[in-house]
Amino acid sequence: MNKRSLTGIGGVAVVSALLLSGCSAASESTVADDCEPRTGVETVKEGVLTVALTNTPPYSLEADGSISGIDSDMMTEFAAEECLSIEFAPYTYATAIPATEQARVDVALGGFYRTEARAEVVTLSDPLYLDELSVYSEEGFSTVDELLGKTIGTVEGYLWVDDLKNLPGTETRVYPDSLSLAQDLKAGRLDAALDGYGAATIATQGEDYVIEVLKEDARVDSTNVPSQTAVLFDPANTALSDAFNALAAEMREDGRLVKILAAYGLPASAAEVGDSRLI
Amino acid sequence: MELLSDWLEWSPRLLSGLWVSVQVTALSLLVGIPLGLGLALLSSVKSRVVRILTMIFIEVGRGMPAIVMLQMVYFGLPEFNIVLDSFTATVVALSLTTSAYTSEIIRAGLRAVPDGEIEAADALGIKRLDVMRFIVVPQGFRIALPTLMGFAILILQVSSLAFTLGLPELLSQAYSVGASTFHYLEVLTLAGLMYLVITVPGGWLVENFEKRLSRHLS
Repeated sequence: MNKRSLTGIGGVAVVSALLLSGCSAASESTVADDCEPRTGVETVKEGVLTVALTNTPPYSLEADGSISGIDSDMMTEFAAEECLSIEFAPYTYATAIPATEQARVDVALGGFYRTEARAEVVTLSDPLYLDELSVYSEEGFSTVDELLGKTIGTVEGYLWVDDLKNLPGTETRVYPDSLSLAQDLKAGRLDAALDGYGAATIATQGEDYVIEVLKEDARVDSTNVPSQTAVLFDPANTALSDAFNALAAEMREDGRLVKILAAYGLPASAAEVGDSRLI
Repeated sequence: MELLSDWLEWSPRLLSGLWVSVQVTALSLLVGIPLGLGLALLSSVKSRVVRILTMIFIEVGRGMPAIVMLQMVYFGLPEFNIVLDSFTATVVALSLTTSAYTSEIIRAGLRAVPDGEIEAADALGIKRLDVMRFIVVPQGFRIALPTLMGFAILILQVSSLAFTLGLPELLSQAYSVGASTFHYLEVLTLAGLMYLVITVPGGWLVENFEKRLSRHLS
């Protein structure tokens, strides 16, 4: 092998290493040497909670090199209680699921709704908060009847996608994320956008839209039963999900959860999830 | 067995997505390749200004990732009060990408036409336009055709990026099924197989075609 090819391989290796190091981020460890873990859970990487972070504000996002959002704040408290530092990497929904299922990460965040089909694949945490189906528009639509005959949009993965698609005379467009949905409403291709309440709050910041929780209607199931959200765990690590569920219950009891929800624009009532259910 | 029954259940939805992908690909090629031919011809005209402008268009089109082109056409044009639906925006964006790439392929094909044939046509007093119409373009196109066919396969794969615009093409439908079932790998595997059903025979076709064209060389 000549010198030039060796230099080339070296260069590729350095670039690859730089790229790989940029693919994940570790927030500075705040774990004290004398930290006593609450339960002492095992994780993929010793002493570290590895997080698959989907960029779905306000549930989970990256801000200033750290994880942020409702799910992220809860997970940060959990990591602190367990004396774990947090390492995270950005994932899409489609990549976060296999990563969790295959135990490449400890937990996936992103306001995931709890459904039976999903519970068969990964471990869903206990319900954390409610995320109601909301509609935002210039006109302030709030009923299904007002949406009939209109061009409406929503985001892939929500429980109400199929119900909206079945509304007679209504064109329902489905977007890969909340940002694309909001952009298309702004571009004038849509009359109204339907999203979770939290995502709608973020999407309408600084814009002249009215957010309304969609009124109960038999044609759209999700209006009758608000969606419960969860974070996802590796099914093989029940100790980890159990420990988190215990802390989440405590946070609900002592009001810490309500404070987190309020910080991201969700009402205190969102913390009142009711009985655990799978839809 | 469970996987097969899942695939059977998902197939109609994915096939409708595949049909959208094929339509987008076909239209993008139908618009993009003639545009590419036009650019290839413009890139060798006498006017320096036209040549430079053409080369800028080609380099921007080739240098910009298709997903950026898609986003610019779909989300950028409304800033200028041009609102295209996701299907049209995808066809426009992929046509632009196709034209930029194929112009170089076609230009190489046109240049491969032996100079002797052009000189012979000139000697016979055939007009320059007719030399292009009847000698250079048909032969250059024939030379470029295998590469163009390979590029067509690539555009089918690139059409999957239109899922970012909410176009219900194959990948979008696969993600949709994955989002409700969380069986992402299984449904993406099926989508991959559906792409292969078109791309693998397409690849064979290109290979056979190349062999046929080079028969006289053996």
